[in-house]
Amino acid sequence: MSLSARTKNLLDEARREVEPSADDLRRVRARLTTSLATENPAVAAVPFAFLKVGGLIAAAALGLGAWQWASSRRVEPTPVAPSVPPAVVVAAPSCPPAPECPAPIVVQAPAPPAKPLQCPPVARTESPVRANEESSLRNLTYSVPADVADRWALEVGLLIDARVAVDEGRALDALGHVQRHAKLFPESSFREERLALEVLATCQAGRPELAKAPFDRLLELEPASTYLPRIRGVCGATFERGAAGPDDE
Amino acid sequence: MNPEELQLATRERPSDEVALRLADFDRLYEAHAAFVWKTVRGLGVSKADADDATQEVFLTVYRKLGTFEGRSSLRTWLCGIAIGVARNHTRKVKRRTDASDALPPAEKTSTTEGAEALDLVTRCLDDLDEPLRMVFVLAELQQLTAPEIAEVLAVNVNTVYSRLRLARERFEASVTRHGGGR
Repeated sequence: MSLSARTKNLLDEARREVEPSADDLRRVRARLTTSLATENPAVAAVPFAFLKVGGLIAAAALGLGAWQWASSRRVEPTPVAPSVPPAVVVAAPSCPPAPECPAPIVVQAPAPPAKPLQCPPVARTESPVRANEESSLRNLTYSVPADVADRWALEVGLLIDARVAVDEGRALDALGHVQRHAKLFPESSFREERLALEVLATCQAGRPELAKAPFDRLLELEPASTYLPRIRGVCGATFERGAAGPDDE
Repeated sequence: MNPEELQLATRERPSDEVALRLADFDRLYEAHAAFVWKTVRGLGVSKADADDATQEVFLTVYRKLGTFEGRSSLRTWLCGIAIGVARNHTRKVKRRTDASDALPPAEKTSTTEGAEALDLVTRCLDDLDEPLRMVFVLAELQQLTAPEIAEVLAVNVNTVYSRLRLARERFEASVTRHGGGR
């Protein structure tokens, strides 16, 4: 059967109503940028229009925590033309064998009004261990903010903090961030990222036997996870898909 | 090169591979973001949740872009992902609603003609069983062809036609029942 004219009109109106506005699509794109930078830090290093446009909004969405974190890590800033906003380090690289890790990843962020414009940090050779300083950068909370943007910033920010802590060898800090994330966002879209960070941090803390359970959950969730090479590099060859785990040796 | 090897290669040459992948992804977003948004909205995701749902669809797409084998069209592949995400969202909303059953129903907030029409369509869709609703939404709101719907839902085309016929009958009846005869 075909629909009556009345119903067809109704559906036409409904179709128009579910059309997204340009603002809707821009907003989602900005959020995606944040997510992708978290998902794959190399993404943030790509000079790509998609990220440059969205990155401004995305970095802002990460809030003061990310800005403070980045500010504390600037390396010999050089004045540049005012059209170039300062870069914010949003995530350290995650890659397989540690010696091949590239430089910190940068994305463009809006300049804070009171600060002079500066070039992005291009390299960071030291491996600072500043547990207390890092922990105090974000006022962590156990309640999920009501505002969607704040919630999103917290969800992404906790994982960025955990990733940075792992890359700087602060395993316990990383586990703290991961646990808060799991408590606040149990059904997060970034469960793969969270589990990988938990495995890495647990191995770094010298307890690979405790990393087996999250590792198994990671394999169950994403058997071809891109984190597997790095996990193998940090945790050892027993953390291989299909290999006997540390408990089985 | 299997997906795992591809991922490993991406690790070795991050900037090139990631840039290529992002270029694909950017084009894909440009071309299909509106379609995905409309799909999740049509499947019952509220406007307030459409940001989250659309984003979730594209995150999934980004993660799985390397595994897309071209056996289905990109649009039906996206649609399949959007259906899964929309289902999760509507399930979550239902759980929230069930948990607050004691509260009075939310007041109707539709203010424009279009919003009222969508409100009525949503109520009529609620009267349909999921298989019928799915076919109806994909055909009448998303305007997918029957073969495309068959591909998305992994059913044969005849099934799509028979479900669509039944869905249209029931939808018409619902419109009448809900007083949509403007």
